[in-house]
Amino acid sequence: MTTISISPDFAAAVDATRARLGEGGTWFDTCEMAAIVDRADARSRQRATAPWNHDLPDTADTLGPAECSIIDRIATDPGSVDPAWAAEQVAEVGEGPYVELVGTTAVAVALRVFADSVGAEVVPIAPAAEPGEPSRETPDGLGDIGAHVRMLEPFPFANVARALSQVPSANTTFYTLVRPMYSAAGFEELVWNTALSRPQVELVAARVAAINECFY
Amino acid sequence: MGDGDPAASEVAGGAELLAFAEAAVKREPLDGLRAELIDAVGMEGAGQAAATVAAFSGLVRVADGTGIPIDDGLASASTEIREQLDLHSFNGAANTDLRSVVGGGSKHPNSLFGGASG
Repeated sequence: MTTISISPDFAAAVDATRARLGEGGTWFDTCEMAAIVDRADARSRQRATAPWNHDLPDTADTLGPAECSIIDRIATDPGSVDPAWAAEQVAEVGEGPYVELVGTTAVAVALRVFADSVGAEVVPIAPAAEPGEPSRETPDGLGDIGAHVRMLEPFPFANVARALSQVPSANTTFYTLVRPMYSAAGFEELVWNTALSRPQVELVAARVAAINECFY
Repeated sequence: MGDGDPAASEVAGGAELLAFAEAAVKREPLDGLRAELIDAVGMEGAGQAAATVAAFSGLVRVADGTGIPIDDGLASASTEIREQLDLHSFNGAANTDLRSVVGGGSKHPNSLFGGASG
């Protein structure tokens, strides 16, 4: 099988992200975070087959039906999320937990897609030796910007950078992976001196967004 | 959507990059495509392509899961291309009120991730 060698920077990003997931979240503890990642990974790993045929890990003791529903939708069909569905989920699990579920699922899918793309295995998340307890804290300064959930407002950068800002730990975990994988060369720079040119990277990015029917 | 004809792309390795990205997202067989991609853009470039596919597989989920509107600076700048590509047919288009873009968003749309470290 032809595989793609992973650069040290990308390997470090994956390792750092996995370590953060093992520490637990703001709303979910280490066991719950591992269950979220497992379920999202299972959905993503089987993305070539119909969702009703997916073989899923048993998370009944760890995650509730609403939490599973959010993971499943974000992992398999994020483009179908609409305000009514999101409001229903937020009412069920709470706004902070919803944000953490979205962020953690997105990270798990990204890790799976990266592994599949290069031809590597995905190793289950290992809980940290001394995991912390979920703080369940919500930052001050949240506002309604017309999204499904509140975010930091005002905010000096693009909306995608504050999408998870209601749960700073989830935002940090997400960008621990995504920043090095996409914009390490600097988003503001139009010419990237990386293996791929900026137009090559954006061509790939646009195709991924289009297949997922992402308007943003 | 446009037909996405890779032959129409003037980007070096465009056909291989697009074929790889599409197969990776859909989890179609990648073995041959990986080899073709490595031939086209090199091993390091292929790794960067895989990383980009992964990053955007995450970004689209965060964007659609949280329902962020597009940033006001981009909303006006992308009007023509949105219409060309029929992007308004996407479900997430409802997240942005294009008659009066809400939320302020980035005053510097080129600063995508700055400060996003939580």
